[in-house]
Amino acid sequence: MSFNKRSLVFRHLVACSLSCCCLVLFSLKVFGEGGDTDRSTITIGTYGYQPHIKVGAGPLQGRGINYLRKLLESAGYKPIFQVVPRKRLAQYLANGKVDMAFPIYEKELRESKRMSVRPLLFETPGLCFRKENFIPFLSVIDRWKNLDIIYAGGTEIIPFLAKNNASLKPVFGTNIQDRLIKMLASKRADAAYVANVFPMYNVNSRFYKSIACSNFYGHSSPVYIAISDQLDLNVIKSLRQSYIKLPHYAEFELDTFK
Amino acid sequence: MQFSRLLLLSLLFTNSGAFGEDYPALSLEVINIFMASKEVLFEKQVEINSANSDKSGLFGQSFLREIDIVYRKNHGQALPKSDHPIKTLLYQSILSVMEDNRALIMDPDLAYKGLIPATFSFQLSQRFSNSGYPVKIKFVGLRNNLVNEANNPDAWEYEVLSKVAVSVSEDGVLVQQVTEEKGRSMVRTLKPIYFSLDCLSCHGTVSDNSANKFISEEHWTLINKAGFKMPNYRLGDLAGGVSLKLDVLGVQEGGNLELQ
Repeated sequence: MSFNKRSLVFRHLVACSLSCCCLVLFSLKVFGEGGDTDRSTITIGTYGYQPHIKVGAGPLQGRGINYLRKLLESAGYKPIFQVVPRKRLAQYLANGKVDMAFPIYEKELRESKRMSVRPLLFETPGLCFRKENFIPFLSVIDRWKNLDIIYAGGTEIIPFLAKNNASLKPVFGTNIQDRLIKMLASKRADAAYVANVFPMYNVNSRFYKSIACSNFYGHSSPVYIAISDQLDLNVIKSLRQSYIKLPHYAEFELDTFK
Repeated sequence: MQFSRLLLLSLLFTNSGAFGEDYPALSLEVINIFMASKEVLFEKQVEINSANSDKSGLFGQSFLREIDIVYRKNHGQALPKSDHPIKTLLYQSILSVMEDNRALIMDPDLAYKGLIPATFSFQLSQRFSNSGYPVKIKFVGLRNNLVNEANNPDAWEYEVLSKVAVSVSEDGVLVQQVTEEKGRSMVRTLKPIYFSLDCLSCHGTVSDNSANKFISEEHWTLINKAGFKMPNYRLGDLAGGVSLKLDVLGVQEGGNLELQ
């Protein structure tokens, strides 16, 4: 009797142990699968967007790349960056060929979603000058209304400039930024209009030593990180949660801009 | 002045608790931070325009520490913590604007950069107000005396400024009111700004013009450093105000808005 009792206790213990083992194995499997999910990849479409995205011979670089990588990794995803022609990026996003895209402008959003209602950054148009002719305040129209101003052909001119200057001349060709700056430097133009001042005039720009630019404040355009509407809603949710937790782009890796 | 105080009191008595959060106090706090940052920018003009000085204090947390010093001086307390999304947004906007101007500030070849309180506060108001949050802040000037047309007051701001202009000037008066726009409650705040001595170097008379410094009187110019004619304001004249409009429902739904 006592043997039977011991046997029963032994069997019970064995059963419990087996159950525990099964539970542990099951848990490991579940968490293991979770781990697989965490390693899921997300494709981000982008293009050379100085100084935020630098496309060169090696891997993509720049604060924008670091930010997007951090954003995805903190949400548990592995980013795959895909360089896409600028004009096709919004289309790629709309078709679901990429899961996310940066930079995307308001008019390009279509059916895709913004990562946040807050734009990641803003683009501001402006005029670039030879340094000795720098005009700090573009609200003083008299200072630039009679200047010969060049711009890259096809660039949209803000109405405020078009209305107040009759000497706007488009310039065409390859390496258009270099051409604009060369024309400025050789005094074949007084100023160059650019749709976004920042890539032309920043401390790392190759033009920094020769030109200085002023902004048309009040004419800025928001720039977003966009998400494909074909992406799973739970994925979007987790990305947005990570986005909120991450330092804002304005504060992210500021040292790299010094 | 009586008008201002009347409005302020009526708002505080009837609405400060009605929204579950003290939006009038929050609005005032945001305006005070905005104005302190503008003041720092004025104090830093030499540093901004110098060719070679250490400019690290103009960026990031160092700049916020400078604002803290001014805020303590003005209000007797530390710069408010970033404990509300609106304040966080404002601090981020301040940092962004300074960062956007890094190339200009660091440029050793420009003797005068043109980053002055007026341009800074315009950039800051644009950055803050276009960031997707249902809160707008801007400097508003008096009609017919505007350098920047974007500073044109709306109907409410115009009415307030007109009444403040004919009242006795007193630095620090404040107007707050809850208005309705398309069925939504807006907490409106306007803090008038009066010309101080510092402001007159660009907004005063020809003798105040900083462009005339070290120049004999017969060669004085009416044009200030910004390129505008000196507008002949005098000490204590009403300059305009900082106006903030807070969409109560929008702010209450702020979290959802972020995740639309």
